Amino acid sequence: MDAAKKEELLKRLSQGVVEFEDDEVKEAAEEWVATGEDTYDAIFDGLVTGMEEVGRLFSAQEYFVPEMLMAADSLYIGLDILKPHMKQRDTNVKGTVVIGTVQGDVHDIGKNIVKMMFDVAGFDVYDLGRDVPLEDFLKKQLETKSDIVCLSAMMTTTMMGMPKVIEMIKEKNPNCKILIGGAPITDDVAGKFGADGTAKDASNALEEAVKMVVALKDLQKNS
Amino acid sequence: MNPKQTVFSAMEMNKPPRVPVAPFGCGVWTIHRSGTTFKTLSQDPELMAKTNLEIYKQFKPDIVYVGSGYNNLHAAALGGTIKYREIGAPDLEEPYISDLSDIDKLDIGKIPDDPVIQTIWEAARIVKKEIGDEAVVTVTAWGPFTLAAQLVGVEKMMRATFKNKELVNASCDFAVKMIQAIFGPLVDDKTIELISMADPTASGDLISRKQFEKFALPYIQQMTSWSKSKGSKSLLHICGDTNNRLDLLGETGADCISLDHKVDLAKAKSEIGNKICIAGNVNPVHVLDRGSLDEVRRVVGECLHAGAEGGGFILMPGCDHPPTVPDENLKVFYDMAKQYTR
Repeated sequence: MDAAKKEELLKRLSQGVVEFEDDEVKEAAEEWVATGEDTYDAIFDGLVTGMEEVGRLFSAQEYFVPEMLMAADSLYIGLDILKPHMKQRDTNVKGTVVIGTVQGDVHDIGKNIVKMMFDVAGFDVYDLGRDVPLEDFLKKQLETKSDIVCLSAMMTTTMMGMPKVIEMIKEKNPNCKILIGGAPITDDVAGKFGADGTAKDASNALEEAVKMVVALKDLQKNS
Repeated sequence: MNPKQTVFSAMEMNKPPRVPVAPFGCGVWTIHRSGTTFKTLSQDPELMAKTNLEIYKQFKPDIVYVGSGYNNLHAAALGGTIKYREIGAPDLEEPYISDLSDIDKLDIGKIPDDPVIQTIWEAARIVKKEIGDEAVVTVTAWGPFTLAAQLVGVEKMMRATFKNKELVNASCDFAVKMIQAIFGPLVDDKTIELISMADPTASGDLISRKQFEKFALPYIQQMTSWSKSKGSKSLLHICGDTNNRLDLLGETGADCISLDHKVDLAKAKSEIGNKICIAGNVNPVHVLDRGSLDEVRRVVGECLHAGAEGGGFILMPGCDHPPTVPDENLKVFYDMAKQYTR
């Protein structure tokens, strides 16, 4: 594939995600695969670049949740086509994440968007879904030995389940990092609940998580 | 003026002798305090009324909300099953409208047969009998867009705002009819003279201004003009950051708009404060639940300062408050408003 063609396909992939043009993303992804080239760039410089722009529009309050969901659908359409053709790499940061919305809370849109960011970044993600019994987070963490547990709550009434999960997990595994998020969660609440961090949106959540995994790997290296 | 007159005076854009003060909804908190459960109360109107009356006696809010926390059960009156939980309010297990033809199959006429709605009606009548005209008695429901999203499924609804606008409009239309059927008998016999709606799925954090204008506002307006035609007032709460659409909130036709803590109250007051009574907006988590007494005093003071001048203002938390809010914090919240006469 020549540089101009590559440039064109990347643009169509990223624009397709931003404007949630499913067909455009599908065609561009298929064209890329037909060239037989590694699809790594198509995913990260095409789809993910588009999703980053979506994130920017979201932060700027130009895009809201419906736009985000539509863009995510387009991204997954591209990802399903491109991922099987991606050569495995040793990315230096890869981790395992357990994610879910806490008991009593069925609001899982935000959680699904964060999960998508982890998927794209190559984390192994175990999604417990919504309205997850608090002890299930601990069970899954122990079973998968995950580096990170992500908890989501969208209501002031259900967020109170979070400190209980954090306590349970920290007691068994103090090194496990816990990220919490959702409408009522701020840095201050995260601190008071004993979480290791929070993020105001999905891209920030991913950044935080990468930092945490790096810190964990350093810890393991040094111990 | 008694508490009820104080509230209605503010809603009529006058300046009552002191600032009216009330929670928003607060069903989860109320039930948590009573030591009972959503499920138990849903079958026992007298007990439901008792939990409301106990709170009323203790804190003397100017508005009493009956059936708060049960908004999701309204959706279940015509289909689906409800899941009761240990933490938080009960909700619908699965949505039951997947396309337009599903709406045609639903029968609004069945609303009065629903046992939970009957309980709420009965409880509201008991509470009204006890409280009389001393304070405002209201019943809560979702706003049309939120109720419709419950019926359709929130994620599906969000996508449908792009992919299937017909479904969004038809389900909101239907939701308006449902909400009217729920409030109808209580408004007709004057058990309630205020309807209270929250529209969290039309939150400023979830949908854009454009979509709010297209899919939430017209149906809210249908509800508020219906309420007006029945001689009732309406209180509307929109969650999240609505700073960029305050003018639209001013056009809802509601008698009072309750704003989330993310809204700049002074800005709201100057933009729409001469048009619609504003309620708000003490941060329910940060300040009411977790804040020290000093923080509560400071933030309540700021809200009063920003909102109370000239009247047309009710002190309220920015949203429903958590079950764990300390009594002392609430006491400061209520006392400060009641002593605020400037």
